[in-house]
Amino acid sequence: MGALGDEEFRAEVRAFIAAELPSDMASRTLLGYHPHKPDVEFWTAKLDKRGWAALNWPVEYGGTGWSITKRHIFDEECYLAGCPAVNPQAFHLVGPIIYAIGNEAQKNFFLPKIRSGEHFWAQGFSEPNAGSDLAALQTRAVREDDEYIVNGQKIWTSEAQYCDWVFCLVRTSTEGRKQAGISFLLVDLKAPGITIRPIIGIEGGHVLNEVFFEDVRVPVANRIGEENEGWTYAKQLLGAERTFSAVVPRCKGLAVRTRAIASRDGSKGRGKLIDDPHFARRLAQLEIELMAHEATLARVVAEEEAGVNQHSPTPSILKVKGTELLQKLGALAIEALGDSAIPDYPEADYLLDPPNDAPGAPAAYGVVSDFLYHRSATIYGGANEVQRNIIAAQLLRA
Amino acid sequence: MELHFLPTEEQAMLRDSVRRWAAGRDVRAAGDQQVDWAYGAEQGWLMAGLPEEAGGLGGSDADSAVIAEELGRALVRTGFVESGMVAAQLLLAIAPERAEEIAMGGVQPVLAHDEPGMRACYLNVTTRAENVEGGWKLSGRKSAIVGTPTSLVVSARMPDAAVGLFEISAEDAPLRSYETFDGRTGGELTLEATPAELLLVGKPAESALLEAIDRALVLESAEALGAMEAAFDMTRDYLMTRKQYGQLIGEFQALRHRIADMFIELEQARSILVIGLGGLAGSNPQERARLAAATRARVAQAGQFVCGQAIQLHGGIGVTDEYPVGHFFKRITAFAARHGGEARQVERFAELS
Repeated sequence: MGALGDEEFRAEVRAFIAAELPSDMASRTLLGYHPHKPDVEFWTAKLDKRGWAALNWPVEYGGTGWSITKRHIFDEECYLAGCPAVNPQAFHLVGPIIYAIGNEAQKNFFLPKIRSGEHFWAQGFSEPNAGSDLAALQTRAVREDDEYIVNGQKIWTSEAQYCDWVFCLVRTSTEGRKQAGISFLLVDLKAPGITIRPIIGIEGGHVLNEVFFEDVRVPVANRIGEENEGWTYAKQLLGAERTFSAVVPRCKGLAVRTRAIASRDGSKGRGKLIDDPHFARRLAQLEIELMAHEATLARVVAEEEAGVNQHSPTPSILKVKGTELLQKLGALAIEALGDSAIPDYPEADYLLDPPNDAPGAPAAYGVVSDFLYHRSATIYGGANEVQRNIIAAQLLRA
Repeated sequence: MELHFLPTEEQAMLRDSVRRWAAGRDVRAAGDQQVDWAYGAEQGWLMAGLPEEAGGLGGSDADSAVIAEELGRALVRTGFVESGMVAAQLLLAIAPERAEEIAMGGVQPVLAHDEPGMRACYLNVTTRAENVEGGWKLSGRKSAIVGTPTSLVVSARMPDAAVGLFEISAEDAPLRSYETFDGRTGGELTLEATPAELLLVGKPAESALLEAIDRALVLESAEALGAMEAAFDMTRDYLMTRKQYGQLIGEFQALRHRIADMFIELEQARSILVIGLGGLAGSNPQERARLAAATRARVAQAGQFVCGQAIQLHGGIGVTDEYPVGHFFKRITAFAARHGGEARQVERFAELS
């Protein structure tokens, strides 16, 4: 039972997944490596056909119009079954901005291509000197007739190497407060003057990139909303998704996986690690923390839907608690693997077809990679230190 | 128990010399392990921890710990601790006539004792030894063998259930090598009636084995301490150079408290290491094991916090392969995963108390 209820809907989602998701794709996704683009394209098309790709969008733009509760149920079922996640920057970030702020031409051109999976999007916000202090960004866009000439650099751009477009915050004015001179541009990643350089993560995977802009020409028609209003739109965008950084499905998946690892024969002596009361107790402790976290999510969602308690800092709690729990569960999964965790199981070897003579245990594939990658979870999307500042600022308002 | 809180003059010099050697290294790369090994042997690192009567340089495990800490600082991948300080000393204790070969690094032995699922229940050896036509043959699985051994010191259960220690040349051992996630060389051994030389059997074998394990627990902790120190130093420097919101990030109180907490943990690790070394120098095997378990557990606890927060305070740059800090975290993660993990060593401490 999930804390979110609606068992009938849950059953419908499960039936759809059972019918449509190939089992090899599911097992590969569940290993915990980075998304494999052909899988994401395949699954996005399946969802689009069913009308479920844009689950967070209103019906008039081809979305499901679902309640937040239903969206969380859907997310959880998809995650636990091993469905590849749709391109999050497109569906969760730029899509909602386009339908909320964009003009008719932008809506008509971009939204269908996101839904079908034709366009993958990257987010161009952070810069080398504008991380937590995002408004310090310096990428310049200078107006020349009906084009902007963009120069500068973005960093930590997830999946840029296989995206088609990037939405960027750029500086169009240096007057006034630093938040005031920022505009929101949609940029074709194939435009001349763009260079993408990979950043390899500590887990050995390639998700992150640097994106360099050298005299890149962007039609003014690709600006979202008004010039110098980009900061307001970006804030709106970050606020709209505030319950989805709780990473509840991911934590649940990891708890299940850790239990399975500890339940292998021979995981402790001739027996099972899970039968060791010390280990079982520590896993249970994290499962209880997860239960309270999931219930907090459900409560915040109920409040959002009822429009009550909107000034509570609980959404920041969700991000902090979820990401920290994810890291604790990852550490326990590694402990459960013990010596089997030690071999490097590189993504390239395991994503499609694990080698026959792999060392260690199949249960270990992807566990350390996932753990190492998620050291970033407490950093990205507003570092947990920033989230704690937000919590304190809201609590201590006079 | 005698505890040594201050380094001797010789230890300070030893520290400086290893640090100078390691200073120019790229902590992100494994480097040439054979070259490292030859250099270390020439410098006497393999014998630093041995008294003169045992063919050593008149030193102690505390001297080995000084070297190990510096090797950890530079993330040296070569198994000096595993081979040179643990397995070589074990081999030397059993076969003193091989002192010269061992001291010169001519043999690179590794202890192949751990088995899948052993989880630091060190006497649960399931690898079996059989006497076939006057020779010994071993069957079983050995895991998490770190380094590039030329010789394996293998533990096995004798037909009468006693523990035996055997040697198998790496050429005769079907070692399945792999790269570890922290960039070292690891291996596992599948023995199927593999011929082996018997070194020692019964209580003497068990005692020698347990002493070697305690030495590994403590000296690997010294290496981990070095890795923590390097990650800590790097983070401290970063707080004093990186600016956000128009100020050094080291001026934010939250981050000042965090670096203070990291320092507190680092110092706890440094202190418990003194305790672990005191245990190795003592004469009571049970007390030695208890203190080695405490050392391993406390250093793993501190190391995971310090290196995890080192990444956190660096932000995005900290999770990239190109920046060194994540490599220290990986080393600590691997350290913490071995020997059953921190919690298992806490249990051992309780069992031995």
